[in-house]
Amino acid sequence: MLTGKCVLVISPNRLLCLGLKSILAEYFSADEVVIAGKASGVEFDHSVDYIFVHPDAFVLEQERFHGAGGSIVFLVDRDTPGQPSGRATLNVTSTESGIIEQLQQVFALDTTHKSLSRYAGLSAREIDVLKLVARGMPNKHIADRLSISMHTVISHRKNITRKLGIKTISGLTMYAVLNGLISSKDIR
Amino acid sequence: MKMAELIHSNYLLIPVVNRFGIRLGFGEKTVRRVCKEYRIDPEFFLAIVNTFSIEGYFPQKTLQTFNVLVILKYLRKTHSYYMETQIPIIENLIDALLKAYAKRNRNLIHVKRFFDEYKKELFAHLKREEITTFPYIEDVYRRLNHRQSRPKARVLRSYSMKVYEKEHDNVDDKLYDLKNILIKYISGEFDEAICNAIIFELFRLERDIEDHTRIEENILRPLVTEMEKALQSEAA
Repeated sequence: MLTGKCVLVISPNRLLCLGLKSILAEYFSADEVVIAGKASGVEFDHSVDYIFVHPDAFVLEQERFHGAGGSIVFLVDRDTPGQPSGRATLNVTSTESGIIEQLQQVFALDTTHKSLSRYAGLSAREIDVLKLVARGMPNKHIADRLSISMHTVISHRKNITRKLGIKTISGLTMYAVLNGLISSKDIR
Repeated sequence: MKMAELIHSNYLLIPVVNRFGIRLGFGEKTVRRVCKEYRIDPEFFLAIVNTFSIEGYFPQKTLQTFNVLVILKYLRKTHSYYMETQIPIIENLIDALLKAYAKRNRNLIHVKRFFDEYKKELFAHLKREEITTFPYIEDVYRRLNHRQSRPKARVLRSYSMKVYEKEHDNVDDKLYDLKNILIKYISGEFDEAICNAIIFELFRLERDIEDHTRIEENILRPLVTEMEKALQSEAA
């Protein structure tokens, strides 16, 4: 699930770091988990996908995290129902199964947030257009359906082709089916 | 240059050489010698081989001096190579891919379906050239060489290189898409070795078709357009 992703764990608590690393490896097949005692010693770059950090360390050294590309997950010591901060959290005092459950939620949440970039950087609107093109709908109907001009439809289609590297309608249909944007029942 | 050396310099030429009827097992024979044995114009052979091998090499002037029937013969051979050899190779590989994993990976069925569509389009394109374009060109050739004495202007009305130009649509787009879908977007379980082999064959086919299209667009079309002009001025 986390294969090929880079995870960074920042905590002065060495046992916590190592424990989280081993759970991530065992249950989420994470193959790159970097651990650090504090944020000041870490090189941030955009290749990091998740950063686990204590909220206070995050607040104290906030500017250090600005350039970081990954999603931040706060390490907390109690359950935070509803996640008021808007951040994903992980209650590190939970039992093993509790931690796994929380992590599953964190990663599941993230795929929905990242769904835009998941499809080769297509925007939400481009995905709307793609779904209709893939069903074989002509430009005129797509324009009517989405209440946009023909010109806009054509420019979306150009961008879709450029981003995906797929030129034909049947190629786009196949892409949409392979990626679960439409089901095979939608085709003709 | 020895024929074997030519193949060593670019092994993708093997099927090109086969199209001239030349079979492997050249020994130490030179290109000229092999051409003589198979009764092939060595100049034409070299023009075709170099056009295929050397990017940017395009002896338009030389190629346009060749007999149009010789060019047609080569193009027909290329068509049958696609239909009888290269496409079946890819088809068999895709079937093998499906056989191993289709139950566990439904995506592969879509790969197959897409390929079938491409095949249908390609074959229709090739057939159209063989049924309409090539016989038309032969007819123009015969009329120009006075081997037939029916009214000259008639055939030209029904078809011309202008129509051909319009019809010569781009079947390469689907091939490009299929390659890209396999490279960028295939997912789930599949046999890596078979999938790689399919991609290699698709690249090979693409390369060959590019060369084929270049010959049709840059040699055949201008050559026949000139012939049409000559016929028209004769008729006038």
